[in-house]
Amino acid sequence: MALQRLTAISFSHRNTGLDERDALAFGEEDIRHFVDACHSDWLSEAAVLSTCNRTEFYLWGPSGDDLWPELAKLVARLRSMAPEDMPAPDVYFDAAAARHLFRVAASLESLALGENEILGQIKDTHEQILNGPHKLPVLDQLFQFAIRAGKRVRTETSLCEGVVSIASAAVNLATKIFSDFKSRQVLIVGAGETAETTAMHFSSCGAERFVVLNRSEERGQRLAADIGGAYRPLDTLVDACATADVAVFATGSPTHLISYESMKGVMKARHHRPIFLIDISNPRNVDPEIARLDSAFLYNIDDLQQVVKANLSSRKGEIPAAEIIVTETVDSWQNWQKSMQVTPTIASLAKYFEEVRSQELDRQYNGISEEQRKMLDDFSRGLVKKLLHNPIMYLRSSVADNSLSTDDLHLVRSLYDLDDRKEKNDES
Amino acid sequence: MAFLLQILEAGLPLSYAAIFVLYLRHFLKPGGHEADRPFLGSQLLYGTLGVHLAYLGLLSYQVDHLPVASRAEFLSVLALCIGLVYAFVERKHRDANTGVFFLPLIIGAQGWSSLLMDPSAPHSILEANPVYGIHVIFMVFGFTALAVSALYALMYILLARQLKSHQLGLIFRQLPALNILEKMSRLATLCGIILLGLGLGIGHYLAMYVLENFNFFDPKIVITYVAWATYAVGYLVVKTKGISGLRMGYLSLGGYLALITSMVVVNTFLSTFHSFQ
Repeated sequence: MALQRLTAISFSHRNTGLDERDALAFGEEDIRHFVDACHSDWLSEAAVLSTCNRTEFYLWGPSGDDLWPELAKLVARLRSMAPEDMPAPDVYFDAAAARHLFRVAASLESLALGENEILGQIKDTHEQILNGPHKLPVLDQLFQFAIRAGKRVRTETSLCEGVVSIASAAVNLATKIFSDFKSRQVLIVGAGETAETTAMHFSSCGAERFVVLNRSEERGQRLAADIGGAYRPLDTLVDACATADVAVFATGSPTHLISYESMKGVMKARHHRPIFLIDISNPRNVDPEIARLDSAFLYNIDDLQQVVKANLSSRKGEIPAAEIIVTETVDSWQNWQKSMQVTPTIASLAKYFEEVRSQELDRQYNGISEEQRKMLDDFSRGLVKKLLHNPIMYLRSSVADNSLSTDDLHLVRSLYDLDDRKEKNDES
Repeated sequence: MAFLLQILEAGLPLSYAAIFVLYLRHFLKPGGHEADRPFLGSQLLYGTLGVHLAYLGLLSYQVDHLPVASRAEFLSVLALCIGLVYAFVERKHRDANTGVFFLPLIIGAQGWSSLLMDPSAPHSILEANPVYGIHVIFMVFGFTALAVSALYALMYILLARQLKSHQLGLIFRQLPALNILEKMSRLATLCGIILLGLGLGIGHYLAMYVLENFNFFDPKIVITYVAWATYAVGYLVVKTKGISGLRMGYLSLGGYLALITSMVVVNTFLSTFHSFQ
């Protein structure tokens, strides 16, 4: 019989192209079939982590080196692919498999280092493990460890701090001025792709009051409709700035759309209420001199790129701290696995002692009173408990301090003939 | 009771110091604190402020006057006022990231008070008057609230300057947003205006019915009235006109510094019947 082991089979941005990842993406139905098949064909616990950047299979059960070729047929069938078209996965076993999952949870394996979404996706997979038709105790534990590792990395390190895209950097800076956007007016100057992406980012962060200014009314109206805002012609820009809280400039205009002098008037009209000007146009649409005005916070594309760069570099600096947490979690996982190895031995030992106790009591029960029986029962229970205390403590502490060898376990099992007894029990 | 008071005198600064450590950890924590989870530091601060209030109550009972007759008593009241104003602002805005700036002031005031405390120190008859005590407590409360407001204005200026200079450091990451800091400053100002107003009113009552020779043109009184009126009018103008931003921050901080400077000048160079020590 093959050894029970943990296997992780990974397709990700590291070893596959986008098309291949799309072809391998598992839906709920595919996952259900895959888990059922693994359970019935290989007596394995199985879970699938499928996101836009990775499809990974986690299996616990009898597994040899030929596991993937067998599984590949199943995956190919489920995803309607030819087996020969399947890309080669990265395959990890045992502690390396656990480490891989914990690194994924910590977002050390993510395309965008430190992204937060992956932890939610791992929690979803854990939910599937818990709610599925089969009991998957080992994978349940594995994913609990992974979630714990992901949470620790996010709370104890700055790996996931800061934003790493221009649009999200702009939104992040704006939240440091206005805290939220519910009652804030966001002015979008331009209706191209960049303007739309930034507007969508503000919308996803709670902004509701949009005004779109664009030279082409048709495109401006379209974007305004998409984000639930109002359209105004571009020549009303100065007036529009007087009421806006955030103004995003993303047009192809070769000249400044707003000058220092006109902005000075705007600031006076708005009683110097803060305004956040985001100029992501090239060439610039906002006169850089405007930054001199009190309460006018101006960021251009270079400034935002600096913010993103600084955040990325700060995230990279946190990798060693995150790796330490991953290693600690792998150690805890291995300790848990070892404790699982001694648990059956402890249970068999306790069962053996209980059987001996019962047999001996049965022999003594004839001809004694109920009170004497109770006394004998209590005495024998206490005796067995005391006799078992040291061996059980030895096994548990040996697991805890990593000193338990396979020989120790064999010795205990041989001393009390536990393996033979188990087989006999299984047969009966 | 004396033993209990001694324990509290030693315990209060230590307790505030422990709370400061929690607030510091909270401030430096990567990613900030989850807003929906109660912060232990806040809970302990509220509890300690309750104990502090009980301590001052016991002290009043023991010395038979409100605790404003000696420097030590005054400092302890000051520490409590800073704590209460800060705790009120923090609770109102559910943001504990500014506590780290106020707790050292509380620790300093209470620590100094505990070192100096001598309940048997002599005091004047006026200081034993409960109306006088209430007047002083309200005045301390009012000036403290204005000081808290000025500190929030300073934080606003620091954060705004970081944002303007694109140097986004620890202050940028951990301080609340500019609009929250502005709201915190305004709330503290409103508290200051109300409390100072009450203090002035009680002071008037005291002057007319208790003191024999009351001089309405005492420099300290004039300055306090001018400051109070300036703050009250300024607050209303700012509120009705919707004025905000960096200039308001400078104005708020500058106003408080001007108030303190004039108080120091008056106390140093001019004679006033208002001399507590």
